[in-house]
Amino acid sequence: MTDLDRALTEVFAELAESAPHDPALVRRVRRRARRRGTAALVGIAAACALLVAGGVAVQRARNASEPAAVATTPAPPCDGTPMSQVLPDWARGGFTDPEPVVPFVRSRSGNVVAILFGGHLYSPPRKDVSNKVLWVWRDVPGTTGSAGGTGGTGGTGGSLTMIAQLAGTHTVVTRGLPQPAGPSTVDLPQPGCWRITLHSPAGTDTIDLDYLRP
Amino acid sequence: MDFEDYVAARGRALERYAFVLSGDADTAQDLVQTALLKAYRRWRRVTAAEHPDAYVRRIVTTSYLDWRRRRGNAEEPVGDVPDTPSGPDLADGVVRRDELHRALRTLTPQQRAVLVLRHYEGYDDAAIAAVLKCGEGTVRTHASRGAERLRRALGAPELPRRP
Repeated sequence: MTDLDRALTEVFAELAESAPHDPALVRRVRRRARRRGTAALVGIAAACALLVAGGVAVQRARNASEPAAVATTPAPPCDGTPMSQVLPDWARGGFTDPEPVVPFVRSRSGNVVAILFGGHLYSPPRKDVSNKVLWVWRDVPGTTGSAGGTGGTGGTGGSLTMIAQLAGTHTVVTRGLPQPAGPSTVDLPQPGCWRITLHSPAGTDTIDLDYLRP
Repeated sequence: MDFEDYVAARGRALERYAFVLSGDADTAQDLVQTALLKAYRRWRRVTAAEHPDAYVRRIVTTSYLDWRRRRGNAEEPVGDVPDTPSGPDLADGVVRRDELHRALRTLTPQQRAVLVLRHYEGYDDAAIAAVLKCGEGTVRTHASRGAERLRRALGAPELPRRP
């Protein structure tokens, strides 16, 4: 064994000792698994709904007086765990890498992403990493004044706001967002999963963001 | 063994391995979560494997290599690499730790993975080849070139940090 071999063994052992620890690892993995399962079920449900819709339309034509059934979908559990993945193509403006892999969270509709500069968000904010978030809105065809991407194609006349609610509590925080869409520092008062309702001229969307305790 | 028992027993070791492999806290946590998520969804198959822990670690390793590949294998330069080693004399065992940490960032993902598997996990070349799905000759090449790159980087002047 050379001295470099010995030095590597020691340095790797040192690194291992300083590895971050997530005490909620199991819970976090299960939540992500449920979220993906829910997304798959929603997709299947949507496909079924389309098939059923045709039948419903025929039935309604036969009997216009029959009231339409209203389906409700329970809200999925709050999960704002960022994923380091390739950004959607519509959110890559400003990145030099053609397939940038960055930590981000996608909104429920999939039309908004929150890119987390620091990898994770913290409450209270850490001194060395700010809670900077780059909001990127996907342009929605047929709408006017929707917030644009990093280049800021929208924001013409409407305002961008967020209403954040800490999951499982009545704690609510309202904030304005940069206009046109772009980076902003989003400090929230408590750690936990925050369900954020985004209001833009294009409509309303929700996104979950996890705030870790430093 | 159910999933929770496994994470309770091996989760911390996975976190350590992912951090040694990636050198970045956030990336390490993402790697562990991603690997465990994949394992959770096929848990029956994982527990049926002869070595479930090796199976999960292989997912961590391949995820790390895949992410780095998609990022373009961006390497952090540490300075102009001299033609001949001129840094600390390794034979005297005077390598400073911070210099070695910095030098590790010059490795390609494959080189780092091979060195981590060899010096942290204690795997032999055959075991490393099995994890990386390559030949033992390739493992030795990555190890040799990685060591050479470290030696040269340790002798290179430091560049200013990236903004």
